[in-house]
Amino acid sequence: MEPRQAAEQLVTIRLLMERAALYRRALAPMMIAAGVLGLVFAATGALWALRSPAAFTGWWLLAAVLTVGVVSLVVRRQSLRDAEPFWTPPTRRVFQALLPAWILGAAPAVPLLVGGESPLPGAEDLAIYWIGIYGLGLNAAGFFMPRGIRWFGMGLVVIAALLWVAGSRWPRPWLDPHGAHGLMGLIFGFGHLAYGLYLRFTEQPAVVVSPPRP
Amino acid sequence: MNPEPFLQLDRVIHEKGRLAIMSLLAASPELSFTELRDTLQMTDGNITSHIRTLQEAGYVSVTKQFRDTRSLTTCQLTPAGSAAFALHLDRLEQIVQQMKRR
Repeated sequence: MEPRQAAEQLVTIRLLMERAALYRRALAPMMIAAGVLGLVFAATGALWALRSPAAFTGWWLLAAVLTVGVVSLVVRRQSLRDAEPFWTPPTRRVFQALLPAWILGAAPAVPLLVGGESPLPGAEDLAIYWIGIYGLGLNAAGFFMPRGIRWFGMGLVVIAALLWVAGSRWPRPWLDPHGAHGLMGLIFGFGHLAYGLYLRFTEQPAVVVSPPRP
Repeated sequence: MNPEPFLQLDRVIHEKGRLAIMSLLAASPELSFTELRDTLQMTDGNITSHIRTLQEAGYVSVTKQFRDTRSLTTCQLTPAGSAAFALHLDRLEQIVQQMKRR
């Protein structure tokens, strides 16, 4: 073996080891399901005028729980079809990366459920908080996922930061409590749906790496 | 040049298909047969043959179970396989270092 071939083998081994740690399930169906649910919850939330922080929090936490359930079913279906385990090491890594964001996202519900007090002044603040937190979670999970999930997460973080700045500097009639459902629908509904459709038409069936040359 | 690292390369691991399988398993506690096959784009027969060779060398353990009436085959590195893979990487590193020293 030539030293150059040994160096090439080491590079390929590293590449293969990195790819083995990546989450491989098709993301498009999950994103599309999350997007549709987001749009449905935004439309019904606005229609039923769920404007108080308590109603807003409860409504969107229900949406989050339902979305996680539906996405888990999609993953389960894929794992059954491929005769693979559901709880794979990459799935566990993605879950662990998302967990801190989920905990922080669910935290505002605790004071609401216990004492009826919201830690944030209004529904619009909660919407921005959740967009930022979810963006941080996706950015962390993106280290173990393909297809630009990290950029999607970073985009959400930037949007949340801009909304905080804009909301604190200028009057925000565009972000009244009623509009918070619209904001959630735009980001969590339309955002997921658009990203899912993009993935749907560009997704490859599997990550393929050529084995090292002899 | 010192030929020792070349001569000590593990013949079982050195074959390209088996090295690829070992690399994937080294990065994950376990992988299913289909994950290995799809990632490496090998045929069922090819990957079965390589896994059998690695199993006979004591480098890989294979577990078969049934879930929802479908069989699920998973592979993982044994402690001996992990050690042999680490040693193989060391020797490749030595070969590369020799080139840099020249």
